[in-house]
Amino acid sequence: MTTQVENPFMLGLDSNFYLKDEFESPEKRTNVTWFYPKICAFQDALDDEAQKAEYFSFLDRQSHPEQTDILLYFHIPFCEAFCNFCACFKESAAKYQGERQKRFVQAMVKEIERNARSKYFRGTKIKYVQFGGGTPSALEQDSMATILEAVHREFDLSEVDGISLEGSPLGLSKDGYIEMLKSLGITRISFGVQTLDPEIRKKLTIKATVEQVHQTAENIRKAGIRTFALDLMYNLPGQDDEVLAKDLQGICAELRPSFVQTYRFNQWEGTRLDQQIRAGKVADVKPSGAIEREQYRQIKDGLAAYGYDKQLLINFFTRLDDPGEIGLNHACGGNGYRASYTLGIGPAAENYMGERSYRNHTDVERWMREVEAGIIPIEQGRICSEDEVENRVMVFFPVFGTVKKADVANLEKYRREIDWLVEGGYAVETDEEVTLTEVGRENAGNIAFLFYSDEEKARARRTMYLSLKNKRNPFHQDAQNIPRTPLFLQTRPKTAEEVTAAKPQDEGAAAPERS
Amino acid sequence: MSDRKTRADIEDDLRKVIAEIFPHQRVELSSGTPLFNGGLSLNSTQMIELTLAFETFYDIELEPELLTVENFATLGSLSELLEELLDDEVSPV
Repeated sequence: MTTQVENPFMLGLDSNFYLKDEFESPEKRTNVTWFYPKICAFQDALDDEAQKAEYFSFLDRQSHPEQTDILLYFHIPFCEAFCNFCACFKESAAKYQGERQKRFVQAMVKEIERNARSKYFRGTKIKYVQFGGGTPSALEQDSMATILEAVHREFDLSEVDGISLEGSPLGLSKDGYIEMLKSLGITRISFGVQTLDPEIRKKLTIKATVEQVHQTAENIRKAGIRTFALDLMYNLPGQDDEVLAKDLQGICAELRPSFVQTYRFNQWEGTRLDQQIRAGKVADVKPSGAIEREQYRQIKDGLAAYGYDKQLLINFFTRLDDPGEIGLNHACGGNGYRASYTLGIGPAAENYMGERSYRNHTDVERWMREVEAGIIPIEQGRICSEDEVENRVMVFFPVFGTVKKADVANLEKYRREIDWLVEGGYAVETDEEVTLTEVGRENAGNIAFLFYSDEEKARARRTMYLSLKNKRNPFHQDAQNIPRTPLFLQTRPKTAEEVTAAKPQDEGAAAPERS
Repeated sequence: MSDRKTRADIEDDLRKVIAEIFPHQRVELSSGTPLFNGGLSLNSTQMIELTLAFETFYDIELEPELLTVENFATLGSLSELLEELLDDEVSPV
């Protein structure tokens, strides 16, 4: 049985999570929530200039609240090659070489300057900087250096906990790349191994070779980068328990990163791999909810056996006794589980500024044009209710595994959920905090859903409805990827008139009367 | 003869629409059949696809606010919602 093609974002809407069987059903284990509340292209479009000016007037009207940390996030959407399971927003690096890449970099610098020089951010101390994508290391060395230099020049990084960059062995294994990153202040590098099995890598169209993975790990260590993290995926097609055991051995015993990040495989609808699985072209071990739960446990036990027994976040393990300041508090966008201040720069970057949530244009060309023209390159934005902003702490706490009661503005609002979690053995409550148990951590994504506001659930339904109605794939961040054709459009039912017209002339007369 | 559809007519229409868009489902659909957990076991996407399908069938447009778990609880509750909507459509103004 294949994994149900189910969007975890929506799952809470059609599950009765207060039934223990539903909650622990293998097919209903969902992803944790990294962004809340969500932004919708249709409900939150900011296409009117006056409306946009009003929305962003805060940038020049007020200064940033001093007590809150800021995470700077840079979205570099380019990839040297596309992996067939990925639903992230991305663009071909080959299309952005030479002059076109220079133009992109200039736009990044301009967006950095515009934000840093606004009244709101001027003088604000940045707590963490993160480069994600896409694949930031797909940028040429001088391009990356130009962006990093602008960050140092324009923002106050005097109290920064670290600067992190996600890369790929394809870019990171180039001569001098890692040294350049270190010289410009990068303190943490992560890259996705996913699996070391050559056959599965081929199936997933991962272009970097296993040799490049080893070489890159070696180079990172040699360069003395403080924090080195690797991604390991589980429940991949063809990845049986034996393969997973070998992956754990290869990553923990041979590559020896300081941190391992684990990711479950999501069969996102519309990806090339999803289409292949549906078409029966992936014939061996298929991903399933049952395998996923088992392998989550196998990974936890396996990591612990290799010394990676400290679980810092829901999917983040280390062998270090003192991991230091590595930005874990910024996992959900800055400020720990309060997660309220992320400044996103680059195409498709999301921003969370207190009650404001907004997203840059996903279209790279349009994003560049607007930045060049001095227009704020935003396509969607909303002002969240107090209720939703308040909920963030509880929606995000499963990522961290624990929440201090003193950090929850209105704890009694969540009394029903907390009691249910404690009674079900998913959490333990003390005078100071609520902490997930082992089984609670295993169901962290589902637990996050318990704290979604009714308003957010209703918005999610509308997002789905409007996306499908507009023939957009609600599961994809990727504007360039495959548009979703709703089942409805593939097999459009007849209208009532068509049904009537299709009936034989005498059918009505011959039909018996309905009693 | 009135154009007004009865609840039973609507339930019949919905059975046809469901059979067309979910041809592999084998659940006997009565008024009380749940559309989500148990019963038809629709997921969120299928709920929306069913909505788009009956919108075409009746040439109506649903307010997204009406996409609630309560309205889509059973074939009967969905028919009740549609009866009201279709009633509004044919009512003289």
